[in-house]
Amino acid sequence: MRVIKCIFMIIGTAILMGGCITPYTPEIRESVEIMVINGLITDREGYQYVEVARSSAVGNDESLLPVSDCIVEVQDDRGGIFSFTEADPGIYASWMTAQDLVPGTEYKLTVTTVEGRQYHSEFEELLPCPPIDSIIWEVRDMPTTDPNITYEGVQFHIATDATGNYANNYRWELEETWEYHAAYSIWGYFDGSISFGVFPSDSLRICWNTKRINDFFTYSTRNLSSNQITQFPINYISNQTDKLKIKYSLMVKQYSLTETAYELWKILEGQSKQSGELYATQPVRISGNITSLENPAETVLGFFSASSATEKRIILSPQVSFLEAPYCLPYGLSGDSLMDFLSQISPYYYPVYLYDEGGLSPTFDYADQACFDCRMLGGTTERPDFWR
Amino acid sequence: MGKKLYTVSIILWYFLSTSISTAQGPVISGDYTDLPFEVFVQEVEKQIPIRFVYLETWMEDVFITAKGDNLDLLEVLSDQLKGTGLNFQYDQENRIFITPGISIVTDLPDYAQEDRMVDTIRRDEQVNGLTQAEKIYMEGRKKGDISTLTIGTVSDLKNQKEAVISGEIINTETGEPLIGATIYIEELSRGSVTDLYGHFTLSIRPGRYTARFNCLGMEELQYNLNVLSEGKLAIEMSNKLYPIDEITVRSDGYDQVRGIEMGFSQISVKSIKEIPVVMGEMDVLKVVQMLPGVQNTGEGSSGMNVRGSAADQNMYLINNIPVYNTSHLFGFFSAFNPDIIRDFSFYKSNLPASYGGKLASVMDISSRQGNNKRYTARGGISPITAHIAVEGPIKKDKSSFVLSGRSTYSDWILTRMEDPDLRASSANFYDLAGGISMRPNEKNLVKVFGYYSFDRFSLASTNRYEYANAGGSLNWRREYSSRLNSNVSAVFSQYSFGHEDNTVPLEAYQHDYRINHNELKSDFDWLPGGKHKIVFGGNLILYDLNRGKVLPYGEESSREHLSLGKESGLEGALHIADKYRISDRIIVYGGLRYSLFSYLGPQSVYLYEPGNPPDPNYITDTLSFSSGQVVKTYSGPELRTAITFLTGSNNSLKLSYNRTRQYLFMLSNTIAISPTHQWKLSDYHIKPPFADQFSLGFYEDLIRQDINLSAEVYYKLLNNIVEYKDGADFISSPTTETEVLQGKQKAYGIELMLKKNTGKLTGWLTYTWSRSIVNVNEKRYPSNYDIPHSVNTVLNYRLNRRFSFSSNIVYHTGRPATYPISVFYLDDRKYIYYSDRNAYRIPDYFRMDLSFNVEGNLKSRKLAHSYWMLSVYNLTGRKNAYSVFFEVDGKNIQGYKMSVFGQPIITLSWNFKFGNYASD
Repeated sequence: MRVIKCIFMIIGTAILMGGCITPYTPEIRESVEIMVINGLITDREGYQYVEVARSSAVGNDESLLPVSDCIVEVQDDRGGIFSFTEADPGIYASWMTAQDLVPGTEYKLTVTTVEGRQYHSEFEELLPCPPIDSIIWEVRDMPTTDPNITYEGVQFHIATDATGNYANNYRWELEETWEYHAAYSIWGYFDGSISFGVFPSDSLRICWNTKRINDFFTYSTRNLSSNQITQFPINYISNQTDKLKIKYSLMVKQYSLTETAYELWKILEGQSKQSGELYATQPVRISGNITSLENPAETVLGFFSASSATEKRIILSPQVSFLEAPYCLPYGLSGDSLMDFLSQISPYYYPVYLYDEGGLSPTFDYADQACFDCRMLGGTTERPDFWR
Repeated sequence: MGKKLYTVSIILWYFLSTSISTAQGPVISGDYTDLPFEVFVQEVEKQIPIRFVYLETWMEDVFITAKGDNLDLLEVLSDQLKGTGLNFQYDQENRIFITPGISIVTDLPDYAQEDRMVDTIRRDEQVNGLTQAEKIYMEGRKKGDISTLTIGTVSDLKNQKEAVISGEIINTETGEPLIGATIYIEELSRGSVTDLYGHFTLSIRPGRYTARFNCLGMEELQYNLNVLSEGKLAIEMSNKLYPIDEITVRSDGYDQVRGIEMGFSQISVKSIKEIPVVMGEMDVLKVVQMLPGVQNTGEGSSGMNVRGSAADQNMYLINNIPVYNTSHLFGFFSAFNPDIIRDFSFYKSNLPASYGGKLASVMDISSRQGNNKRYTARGGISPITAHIAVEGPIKKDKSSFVLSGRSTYSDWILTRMEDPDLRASSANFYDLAGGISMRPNEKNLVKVFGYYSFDRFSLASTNRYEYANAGGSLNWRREYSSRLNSNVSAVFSQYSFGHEDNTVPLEAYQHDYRINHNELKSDFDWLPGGKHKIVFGGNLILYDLNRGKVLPYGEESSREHLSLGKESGLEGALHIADKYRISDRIIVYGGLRYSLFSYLGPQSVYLYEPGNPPDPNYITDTLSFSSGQVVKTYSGPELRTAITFLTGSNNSLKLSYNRTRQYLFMLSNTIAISPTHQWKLSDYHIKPPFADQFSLGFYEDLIRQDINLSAEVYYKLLNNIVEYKDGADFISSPTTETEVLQGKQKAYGIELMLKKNTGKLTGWLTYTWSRSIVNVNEKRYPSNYDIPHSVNTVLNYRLNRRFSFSSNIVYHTGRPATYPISVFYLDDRKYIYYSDRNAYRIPDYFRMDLSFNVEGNLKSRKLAHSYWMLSVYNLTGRKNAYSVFFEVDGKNIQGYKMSVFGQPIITLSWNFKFGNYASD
C-alpha cells in the first residue's frame, strides 16, 4: 500500500518549505558475513548459473565477496546430476541440454565449500511459464515538484494471459536498447595535423546501447479474479534521458515463481526501495530456501529456483519532445584561430574531431569528442540483430 | 487588583425533616396561663430537645401566657419577655440563653453571606444592636468568611453513628456540575471527589468540622460544617477571577497524596488553553502525551503508547461513547473539538473496576453540559480550521444544550505543495457534537449526547480515504437516597472507513469497513455506612463488525471479489469495588471485575492440523456456526486492588495491582495508526490479550500543595498480545489467524514528576525511564515504542493577567529501528540484510515550543472576550527523525531520515467567547 510519502508535509512544508527527507547515515555497530547462494534453472538450453558469495559489511567497500572453489551440483528428481564449474570467481556454470530442462522436473542444489560446509536447497520444480501477451506503451506526462514543468515520457505495461495450468506469481527482468546519435558527423580530425574524409560518414555517429534495467518487477495474480494480467505497469522512461529520441526497444523476460520465491523477491524488492512513508512497516530479515546441513539455524541468503522463461521484445519510436543537449554547442572557432587553438591541445585529447559548419566553402569547428563519437556515451556502433 | 468579587452563595436544603433548625424556630404546643417561667421551661424541655440557660433570680417575676398548637417558641418568648429587661438568644445547639440587658452573641457574624440561612432569632432591636456590636467585634478580630452549614436534624442525631452527607457542587455561572471538585475535611484529613455529575458523598461522624471545597479554576470555599445527621448540600462555586492559579496545568483535580488513584490525571480544557500547539489547534491528546509514561506513536500522530503498550490498548471515551479512531487528517489533529470538552480523566495505572475492555489506559472525556442560565458561544480560527460551540438553557436551571462544529479549509495548503502527488490531493474533515442535559428534579439527571466526525482524503487520484466516527449516548443518573445512586447509560458507537486504491489499476480495489458498538451500562454508588464506598454494576456490549468486501475499482481492475466477513461478539462484565478507609492513614481499594466475551455466529471457522501453524495448507476441517451460536467464549476475573498509606501529613505511599482484559484489537503492522486499520474481535483462534500491572508510588505535596512530587514504578506483563507475520496483509484473506502471531510482552519503568501549581511560574517536569520488550515465538525484541528515556517540560510564565508565555520542551530517546548490517548481491543487484528486529534506534528526539498569549481586556462587563495565541512549534527547527529508511540507489545504500516538521512552525490563532475574561 503506497500511502503518503510524507503527509505531514501538507502543513510542515507548505508554510516554510524545506525538505522533510534528508540523507542520514547511521552508525552501524556490527558487521556480519553471510553465505549468499543464488541460482536459477531456466528451460533454455545452455549454461545455467549458480552464484556463491558472502555478504559484506555496510559502509566503505560494499563489494561482492565471491566464494571460490566450491563443489556445486544440481540434481534432478530423475537421477540426473549436473556438476557446475567455476566460470568466474564465485560464479559456477553448467551446460544443460533441453532434455534436461523439462517443465515439471524438480531440481535440488548442493554447494560444498572448501572448508567442507555443505548447503542445499529443497527440490524446486521447474515451473511452466505462459507467453507474454504484449508489452503496451503509452506517452504519459509526469508532474514534477515545479507545477509549471511536466516531463514527457513513456510508460510500459505488460500483459500476460496465464489462464490454464500456470503459477500465480511472476517476475520480469527488463533489458532496454536504444539508438542514439552523436550531434555531429565527423568531417575530419586533428592529431597533430588535420586529416579529412578518413571516417565514412555516420560511422561513429549512430550507436546502440543495451542495458539491463537494474530494477525488476514481481506480481502475483492471487488477488485477481482470474490469472490474467491485463496491464501491469513496469518501467517509465522520461525525456530527461535521450533514450526515446530515435528508437527504443524493450525486452522483457518473464519467469514463473513459486509462492515462497514470490514472497522473498517481493520483500527484497520492497526493502531495497523503502519510501519512509507514514504507514511503512518495519523491514524484516528474510532468508531463502537454502540451508546449511551442519547448522540449520545458519542464515543463508539467496534463492534457488527453476522456471521456464518466456520473452518478448518491442521496438518503438514515440513522439516525445526533447531538449537539445547544450554541451554540444560548437566552440565557434574556424580558420586560423581554430588552427591556433588545436595546436595547443594536449595529445592526450587526440583525435580532436572537426565538423563542417556548412556554407559554400568548408569551414570547420570542433566540439567535445562525445559530440562526434557516440561510443563515448557507452554504446556500440554495432547494429543489433533485432533492430529493424 | 481591585476588590474581590466574591459571589459565593450557599443554599442549604433540608430534605428529611421539618427540623427545629429552620427559620421558624422551635415549636411547642400547650395552654399556659401565667405559668411560672421555671415550670414553663420544664414543659418545653419535655416537648422538644432544647435547653434554657438563665439565673433563677432573674426570672422570679416572669410568667408565661400562651396557647395553641405549633406555637413558635421564640415568638412566645419574645412576647413574654417584653418589658422585663431581659433578652434571650437562641443558638444552633438548641440552647436558649437568657440575659438581662444585652444579649449574648451565640453565632459568629457573617458578612459575605447574604442569603444563607442562619439560626438566629431576628428581633429587631436586638439585631440592630448586634450589628453594631458585630462591627466593633469584627474590626478588632477579623473572622473571615467562614460560615457554618448545618446538615441534618437534631432529632436524627441520637441514633446516628455515621452520617452520610451527599451533595452537589455546581458552577454558579453556568449551573453545570463540577467534576472532580474536592471536599476535604481538615479534622479527618480526608474528603471526597465529585463524580461525572458533580455529586459527592461522604460518610462522617456527626460533629463540627472545617470543610474546604476546591475545584480547578474555581475559588476555594471554606465552611464550618455542623453535621447532625445525614443530609444534603448544594455548593455553588464561582470562577476564580484571578486566574494566576488557573494557568497552571493542574493535572490533578484530586488530591494526589490522599487519593487512591495512581497514574491518574484529571485535566480541564480551560487549564490547558495556553500550552503551545502545532497549527494553533488545541488538542487534548497532545496534552496527555506530555504526561509521564505516554509517548505518541510519531510526530503529528494522535495514537499513543501508554506505559509500553501498543496503540490499540487505549480506551477513548467521550461521554461514555467509545471512539475507535481518534484522528483527523491522518492523526494530525485529534477528533475531539476542544470547544466541547470540559475536562478529561486519564488512567494509566490502577483502573477502577467500572472500566474495562482495554489493557493500557482509559481517557474519559466529559463534554460541556451547556450553560443552563444563559446563552453563550465560543469559537476560534487557526490556519487550518474554524470551530464554534453554542450553548444555553432550554428551560432555565432545568435543562441546557450545547452544540459544536469544526471544519477545515486545509485544501489551500495542499495546492501549494511541492510534491506533485500532494498537489493533486485534497483533504477535508469536520466534526459535530451536541448534547442536551435535563434535570427534571433533584433526584434525576438525564444527558443525551451525540458525536460525529468525518474525514476525507484523496491522494493524487490514486488513493481515496473516507472515515467517520458516529456515536450517541443516553446517560441517566438517579439518586435513590443519599446513600445510593445509579448511573445508567445506553451507548452506540460506530467507526467506518472506505478506501479506494487505484495505484495499480489492474488490481485497483475498494474496501468498506464498519464496526458497531452497542452498549448498556449501569453503575451504582453505594455508601453502606462506616468508611466504605461501594461501586458496583455491569455492562453489556454487542459488537457487530462488517469487515467489508474488497471489490474491483474502475474498469481496468480485475481484482477478485473478496469478502472479509462479518463478525459479532458479546462482551459482558460485572464489577464490584469497595473503597475502605481502614484508618485515617490507610485506605484500601478492592475491586473485582469479571468479564466474559462470546464470539458469535454466523461464522465459518477453519481447523488446522494440530502441531502446525494456522496456514491455508494445513486446513483439516471447517466448522459452521449458525446465527447467534456461540463460537468461542473467553472469560476471566480482573482484580483491581490498591492501597494508600499516608506516611505523613503531606506524603503517601501507594501500591496497586491490576488486571485488564481486552477482547478486540487492531490489525496493524505499521507504527502509526492508519484509518484503514481494522478492528477485529478475538475469535476461535486468536485469544484475547490480558495484562497484569503492579505499581508502587510515592507522592508528596510541598508548600501547601503548591508543589506536587510523585514517583511511580510499574511492572506490566502482557499475554496473548497480537503481533503480525512478516508481510502480513489484512485485505487479501478473511482468515486473520494466518497473519498473526501471539506472544508476551513486558514493560516496566519509573516515572518521576514535579509539578508547580501556583504562582507566576507554573507547569511540570517529568522524567520517565521505561522499557518495553516483546517476546513472540521465543524471539525477544524491543517493541516499536520502547523509549528508555523521556523528559517533558511544560512551563507557563504569566507576566500579568493579560500576557503569558508558555513553553514545552520534549526530549526522548529515538524509537527502535531495524538497520542494514550487511549487503549482498543477487543477479548483480544489491540487496540489504537487516539487523535483529529493532536493534538500533533512530536519532533522539528534541523539541522546544513557545507560545505567547494575549488576552483581551479585563472588563468584567462586556459582551465577548477574545484572545490571541502566537505559537512556535519546534523553535529550534531541529529535523527530528520520524523514521529512518534505506534505499539501494544504484550501487550504494543510502540512508534517509524523514522529519515531519523540519522547521519552526509559526501560527497565529484567535479564539473568542461570550462573556468576560473569567467566563466559562
